[in-house]
Order: sequence, then C-alpha cells, then structure tokens
Amino acid sequence: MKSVRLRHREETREIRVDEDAPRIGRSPRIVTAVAGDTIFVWCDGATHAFERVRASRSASGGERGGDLLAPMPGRVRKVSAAAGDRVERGMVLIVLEAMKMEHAIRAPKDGILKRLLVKEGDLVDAGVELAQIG
Amino acid sequence: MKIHRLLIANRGEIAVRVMRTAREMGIETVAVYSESDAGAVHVGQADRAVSLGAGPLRDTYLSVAGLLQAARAAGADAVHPGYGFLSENAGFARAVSDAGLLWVGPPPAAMEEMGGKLRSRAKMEAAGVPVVPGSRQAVVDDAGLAAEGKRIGFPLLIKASAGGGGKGMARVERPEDLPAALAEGRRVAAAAFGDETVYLERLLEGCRHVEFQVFGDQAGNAVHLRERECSVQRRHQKIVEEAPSAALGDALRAAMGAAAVAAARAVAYVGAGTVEFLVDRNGGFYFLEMNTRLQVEHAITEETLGCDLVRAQLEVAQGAALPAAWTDGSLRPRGHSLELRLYAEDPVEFLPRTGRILVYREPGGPGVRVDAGVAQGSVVGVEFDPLLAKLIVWGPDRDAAIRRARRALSEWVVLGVETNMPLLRAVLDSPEFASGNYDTGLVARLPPGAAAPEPPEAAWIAAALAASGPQTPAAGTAASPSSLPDPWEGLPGWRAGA
Repeated sequence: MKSVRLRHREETREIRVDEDAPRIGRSPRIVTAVAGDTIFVWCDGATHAFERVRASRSASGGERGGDLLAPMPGRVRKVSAAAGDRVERGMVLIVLEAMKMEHAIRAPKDGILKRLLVKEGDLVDAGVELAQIG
Repeated sequence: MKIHRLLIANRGEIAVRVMRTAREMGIETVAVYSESDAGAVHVGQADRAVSLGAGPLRDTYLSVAGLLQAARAAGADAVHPGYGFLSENAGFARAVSDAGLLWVGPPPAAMEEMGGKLRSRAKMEAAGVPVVPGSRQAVVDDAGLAAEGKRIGFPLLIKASAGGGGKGMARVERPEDLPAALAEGRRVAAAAFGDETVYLERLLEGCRHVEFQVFGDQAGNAVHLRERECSVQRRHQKIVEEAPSAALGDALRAAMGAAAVAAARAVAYVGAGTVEFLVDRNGGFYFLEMNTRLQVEHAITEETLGCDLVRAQLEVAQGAALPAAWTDGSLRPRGHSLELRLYAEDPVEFLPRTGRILVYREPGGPGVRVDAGVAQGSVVGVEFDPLLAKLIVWGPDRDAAIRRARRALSEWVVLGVETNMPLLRAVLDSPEFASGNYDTGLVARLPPGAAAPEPPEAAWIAAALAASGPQTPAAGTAASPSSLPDPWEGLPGWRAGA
C-alpha cells in the first residue's frame, strides 16, 4: 500500500494506492501527465493541476509570513525599494514582466524590507523568493 | 510582381496560418526562428527555415537587419509580417521594399497615419468618423493634464499614443490620482513602445467592442467585410470573438461599415485592416483605432463569408483587384462563427504560465478549425506572447455555434502548462454570453470560482495513481507524454481517504 499526499489549491488529501487490488478497467475521458511534483489531470474536458506534497518539503506558493514570492515566471523589470526601506502595505516593490505583460508585486504588510533577493534584469521562476519584509 | 517565395517574419499560429495559404497558392514558404524556437511548430511547417540567431527579441524577431538578411539568404521575394512584432512598423515595411522585396501589407504612409493614436484620432475626426471624447494633443505638463482631465471627465483612461492591443492603458478614477498615473503611464509606454507619449480618453463603460474588417486594393477600391464582436476581454485583451455581432441591426451595421470604409479611404489603405469601434447602449459608436495588419480573429470573418483573407492579402499585394463578390454587393454571410483564444495563463488572475506541453490533443470534426502554434512537446517560454492556439467554430446559427464550441473545447487536451481553458468554458456557460446581450464587463461579472472548477473525485484518484507510478520523472525534466495515457489501464487499484 502506497500513500500519496496531493494538494489542489487550498485542499490537501492523502490517497492510498493498493498495488494488489484488482484492475478496474478503462476510463477513456481521463489523461494525466507528470512534471516534477506537478500532476496534470485532464478529466472529462476539464484540466486540474495537483501538487505532490512530500514530507520533507515545506509548503510553498503565495506569501509565507513576510516572504514575497514571484506569482509568475518573468524578468524583473523594475525594483522600486531598497533593503532597509520602510514599506507600507500595498506599495509597489517590484515589477515583473513576462510575455510582454507587467505585473506589480506589492508589499503584503507594513514593515521593513529586510532582504531584497533580486535586481533589475534578473529572470525568475514562479514561486521564487523575491524579498522579505520584517 | 509575382510571389515565388514568401518569408513570414513571425512565429506561432499566425506563421503557420500564412504558410498554409501560401502552400495552397503554390508559393514556397520561408520560416524564421530564434535559437530558442528552433523546434517550434512554425519552423517544421515551412519549406525552408532560417535562424535569426540567439538573444532577446530585438536581436531576433524584431531585428530588421536580421530579417532582411534571412530573406536574402533564403532567396525570398516577398515578406508577410503576420500580426504583432514588426507588422505595424512602417520602417520595416520601407526597408523590405527598399531591399527589392514585396511587402505584403499596407503602404507605410497609411501605417504611420494610423500608428500614432493621437494622429489617427485627428485624421478620423477630419474624415467625419466619430471618435471617443478625449485629448487632441499629447499632454506634457501636469497643469495641462489636470485641465484636460477636468474637461474630459472621470473616470478616464490614460493611453499610450504608440500603444495597442490593450497595452499601456490605465484607468484613473479621481483627479488626484492623475499625476501618479501619468508618470506610470509614461514609464510603461516608454518601456513597451519606445515612445512615452500618452493621452487621455473618456472611459466609456457598458460598451461593446465591435470591429470591422476592411480591405483595399491598389486601384483605390475599399470595402468592408462586416463586423466582429470582440467584447469578451480580460486585461483589455480579447479572448472570445464572434461574427456576426448580436448588437448590430442592419442600419447600425451599414453606418459603422461606411465609417470603417471612410477610415480606410482617408489613408488610401491597401490590403487587410481592421477598424475598431466602441458601441454604447444607445447605438452610438466611436472610432478607437485602426489595426494596419491581419487581425488575430480574422478567421471568424473567413468562416462566415467563406473567404481566405490571407489569399486576398497575397493577391492584392501582387496587384490584383479585390474579389468581385466583395465589390458587387453579392457577398452574403452564412451562419455564425466563434473564436476562443487559448492562452498560457492562469484562468483567474491571468498571469502568464510557462512550461512544456506534455500532452496535446486537438479537437476536430464538423465546423471545427484549430489554428495552433504549439504541439505536444512544445516549450512555452516567457519571452513570447502567451497565445498558444485559437479554436474557431462555425455553426448554422449562434446557439449551434456555442454548442459546437463547448463540444470542441471538451475534446481539447493540453497538459503541462496551465491555460485559460476554464475561463473560456465559463464564458460559454454564462447566461449573459448566451443571451448575446453583453459588454466588455462580462468577464469581470462571471460568478466567483466559475473559471476555477473543483476537481471531481476521479481527478484526485487519477492524480494519485499518476504520482505513485513508477516513472515519475525528476523535477524539471520532460515527462514522456505517453507514459501514462490512461491511469486506470495497467495500474493496480486505489483507495481514497485518510
């Protein structure tokens, strides 16, 4: 018996797979593809992306406390604050650009910009840490 | 001049689209590509392919010198620019002609007249075409700006004069927000278009976005080929278009069509162009801009009129007159067509997504056309436009076309890169869209969660089976698309729950 933890947006489930159970036939309207820890499922015309949750890894995605993560892959077009600056909630700190589209990264809360981990021109992946606010 | 070998200065679905017609006309095709695009679909469709080297867009797809060198190297005698990239760049058009190549597009002078929004607005007013109320000249200082804002009224839009495609636009609610919004607008305009000129325009809300296809030939004939309804938008960019528009009766269509032709004639237009309008609830219409190129959504015009706009572009460029059916009044539209744009982006916040397309299966069958720039294995990167493919359906009437679109969408499998497909489905399922009575606010009014459906139980189970399979590849590597075509097949049983 194998156990798999999966997350879809906010919901996490543990699903056990019984390798010895009898096969149950075909389901033609399902297709899956795996890329790293992401499992894509096409099910009856709709696509869903699941993240495999491994015990050794902490949760990622969104902001962890004062950490600011890139919501999309792209290039850092503009950095408008420096480490040590006092920032206010809603202030634009970083502008990311991808596919000719700009996206402003704003301070999630009031505080001090403790660390700035990117500079203008950097390429970042989605989920990469950009800055920390304390 | 006869075209023997055509270079397509573009990539993705539009490059493939142009190549298909060229091949039907017996014209050889030349693809260009940047090194990161060497395996792209458009490269594999061409008779010849020439590398533009590696590097950023300005050194590859936007490099006039590189493109001309590629044309020489491949022995091309004509250049089709597609849309985007250099398609509306008059300097490129001139450079192509100066190099002795045939430019498949409008005269550079017409591109310049329509390229600057401020200039085109003035030109249209002079031609008697109504424009959206707004600035007549570029606002340079903050005092003048405040006065302009007061005159035009809030809320208003700051727009980049050199802009287009919804880029470089910002909404301003209150006079006190204007100076900051202007500074930001200039910065974005300078970064995106190399020209920081911005102007103000009244924000007309509750409007529909309706455009007319126009076409001119070298003998001075100009016609319109009816309208496309483009009000389903996100971030001011179209995602679903239809022809005909449910908002237009015969009288309004005739009035707008005449204005569109007047716009084309005002700049001695040749080739395919599109005149965009806003239409208010009272049937008032206002010129927005003219796109001096083939439009992304040109296919719904082709499907309802039974024509090939790329063929007409190539024929007109070679000196032919407009097709007789377009000028003698015998053109009759048939049925209804929808286009749905598949973007590599999340369907809720519309942020770009990248990755490798691991599984790709296209819909087909009666009335279904897919113009795609990707295939299984394609890499979707951050440097290009997120448009992956267009689904175009035709049906005998609007309801049939919507049912067909829903059916075709349910056949389309794209795994590996998140797409806006759930949003497209939510639009088709929305009662507002079904009614035909909608405006550019439709996407914002979709019920919360409509574009983010919860996975059914079976999807969780399939994901668990796929995750526990023996061949889960390491992070960052490409999974074999055929590794798990059917999770139920050949795998042991499962048990859900804690």
